[in-house]
Amino acid sequence: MAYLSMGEAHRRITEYLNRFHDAVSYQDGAALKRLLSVSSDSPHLLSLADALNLVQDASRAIRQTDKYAQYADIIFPLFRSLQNYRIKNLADSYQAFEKSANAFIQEFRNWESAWALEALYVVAYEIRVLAERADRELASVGKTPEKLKAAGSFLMKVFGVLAGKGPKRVGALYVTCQLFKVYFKLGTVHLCRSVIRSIETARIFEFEEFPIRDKVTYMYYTGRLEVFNENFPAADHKLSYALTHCNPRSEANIRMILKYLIPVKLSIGILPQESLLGKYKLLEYSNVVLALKRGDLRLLRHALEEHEDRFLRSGVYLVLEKLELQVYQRLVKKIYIIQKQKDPNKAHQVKLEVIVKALKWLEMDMDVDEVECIMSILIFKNLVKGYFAHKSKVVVLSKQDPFPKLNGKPVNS
Amino acid sequence: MKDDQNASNSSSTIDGDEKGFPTVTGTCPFMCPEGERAQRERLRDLAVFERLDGNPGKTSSALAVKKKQKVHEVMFQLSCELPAKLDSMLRFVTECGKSLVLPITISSKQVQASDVRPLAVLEDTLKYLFNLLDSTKHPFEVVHEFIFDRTRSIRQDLSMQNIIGDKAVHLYERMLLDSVSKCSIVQPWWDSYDGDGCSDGNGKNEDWERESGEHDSRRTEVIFHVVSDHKLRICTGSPNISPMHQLNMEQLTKSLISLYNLYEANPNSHSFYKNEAEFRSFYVLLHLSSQSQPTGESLSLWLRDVPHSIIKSKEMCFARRVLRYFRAGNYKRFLCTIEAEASCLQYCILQPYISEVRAFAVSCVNYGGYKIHPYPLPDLSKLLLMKEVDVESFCSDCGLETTTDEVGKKFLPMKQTSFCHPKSVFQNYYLLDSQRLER
Repeated sequence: MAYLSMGEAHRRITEYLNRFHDAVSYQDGAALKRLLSVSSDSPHLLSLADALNLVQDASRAIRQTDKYAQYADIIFPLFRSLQNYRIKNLADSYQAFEKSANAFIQEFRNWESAWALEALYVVAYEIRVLAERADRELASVGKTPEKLKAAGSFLMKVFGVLAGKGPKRVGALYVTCQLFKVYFKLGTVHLCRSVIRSIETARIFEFEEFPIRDKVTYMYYTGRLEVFNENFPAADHKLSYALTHCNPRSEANIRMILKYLIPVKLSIGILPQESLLGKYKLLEYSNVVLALKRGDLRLLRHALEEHEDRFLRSGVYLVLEKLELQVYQRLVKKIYIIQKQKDPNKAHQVKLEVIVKALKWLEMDMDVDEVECIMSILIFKNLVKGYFAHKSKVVVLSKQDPFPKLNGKPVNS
Repeated sequence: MKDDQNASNSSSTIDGDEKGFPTVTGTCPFMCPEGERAQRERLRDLAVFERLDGNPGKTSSALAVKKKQKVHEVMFQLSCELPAKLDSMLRFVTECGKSLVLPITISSKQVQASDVRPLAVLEDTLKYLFNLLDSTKHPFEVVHEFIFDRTRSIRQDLSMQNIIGDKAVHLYERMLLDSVSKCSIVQPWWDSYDGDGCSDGNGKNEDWERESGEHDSRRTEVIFHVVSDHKLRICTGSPNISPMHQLNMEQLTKSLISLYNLYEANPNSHSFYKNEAEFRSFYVLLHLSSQSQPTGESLSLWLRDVPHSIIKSKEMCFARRVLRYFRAGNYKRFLCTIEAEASCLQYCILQPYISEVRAFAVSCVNYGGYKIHPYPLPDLSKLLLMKEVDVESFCSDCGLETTTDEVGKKFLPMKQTSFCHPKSVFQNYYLLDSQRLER
């Protein structure tokens, strides 16, 4: 680090204070937000942090001048946060930032228009990011990571501030998305419910009014929740919304959406092209898609096993497992097609033994009783039209449309 | 929400640890603190088991057991939330699906060490409670309700203290094993339970003993709930059973979650916890049906955080296979797998699903079967793993008729339109027709 003189250090601090004061006086949200983004590693803030660490007690500078003193509650702890951040005390940095953010919220409440919304976004973002890093630090030294949980509570408070009738309310969705990220990271996903309810049922919120970027993120997370709960039509709707409104150049985001949308689409009978999987590096789904096309149960099981950890972690494993019935349907359909080519008049009668043989060829060991069981399920769930004759061990398919398509609806349970 | 006990903290002060949550070292020498005992005598608020010579206004230190406190349990789990954050707390309370309770906060002033029972007293209390399970003087529901409430109180006392300390609790574990083995239903399981516990054979007995205390009381609690649930389902008649069953399932799940937190608190000791895999598998089995989620949280979410070694364990693989069959509706494999592989406790948990799956099987067969060929009941009994004599009554429970031909063979006619799901899960409790699981 280059030599820093006391004079220069004081100058930097005063310059920051001036900027802060000006930003607020002129209601310049863009300027203000740059002064708050602790984790951005901006050269300006880093050099300020160095200055603070040298001077050690900037409070005198703040208190001496009236025009700075009114923001003391925001700036004191913000300085502490920066200092700690610079020397990599992330837990303390978070703690101090939360204090500053608290004071900021109080001021924000009093500012009438929504000029400082962008700055508020930065505060919300920083709360989350600093908390995440603080928790990593705490975990690495064997302490309990608890800052992210605190960040969640704080963000709820911020949400409360925005949930009013004025123009500030369009910021609520951004904060909601930060909350989603916190809850998903913590695994306390059920806590999303209350914010979702507020967004979707409160009369003050008009969903279309929110910025598009926030709507995409919101739909992405709520879509994922629907996937966890296996509400496929709702998941399809939300994730598709996110996909269509997502910035087409943002490949990483598109990939994230597709990661969850693909299993949903598969569940309603829509298969992606291999080229799509390749373009967005989602080749873990390749064999799943192939298994569905071929009616190859062994391939499906194998694909699930090969990527078990990955699928479990993203929460789509159980969704993919459920595709089994569709794979069985496909297999029986193939047998039917082959029989039709040999003898169209008798094709609609499929002996259970034939299915047993086909499965054996796929190295799946199933007896006739189990095949009958599977067939009865397929019939019950309308994946196959027809009936089975227990005595003669035969499935008799309907002459018309024996293998109804899903038509965008999931297999009924 | 996770129970935030930090097992590695060894300090216990009344003033509280850094999180602001009061940690207390209990000093109450009785099963029930004196203050509470005197108060409940005055108010005549004594359970039948606590009454001296049947007198509703008199008890003794040998009979009174501390009641579950009215403080909402959620408060304990929000251990890093200070009372000032009332707003968020209230929100969290409603999120658990419980009705809004006026927040009664536990401040360090209110928690008196003399009201909290230390580990030794809690062990004795639990032992006393389990002895009551054999009581034939009162109906099982009454016994259950009492034990149910009092074990919750034990959990509260455990939550408030740092139990994992220096005390060797080898004796404690043995004692608990004795108590629980008196539950005849779990006898086979306990017979094979290795009381010495340490499974990896590297001789670190002290470590394991140190952890096992609280751990085992949790485990015992879970067993209690599973067994009770099972017994509750056998009891017929009382309309009060159903909400009790619901509560029991909730408590069972809560105890399980606390137990999992204990397992996770010592990530290096997985090899010591021989039974962790089985206890983890219970969670999966409790969440088979996407409708009846005791915690309201999806299984997909839970599976994300299960350690790899547990995922690969025999018990978890069993549970996941059962899950797969259940969700696909594969009744044949579902029933066969359970018959062949389920442990006693797993079977207890699976009972209601077995009924559900059998009903589904019957409805599928009835729906898809050939009109002209009624289904022979012997075949149906093999399919449902049910004794033939039970199959007939089961079909009738499902609103379906059975027929008999000239030579006395019984059949289920196909395509009947009167199918309905059996009304009460608690009546007509058909055991799996199985040599292996016979009781």
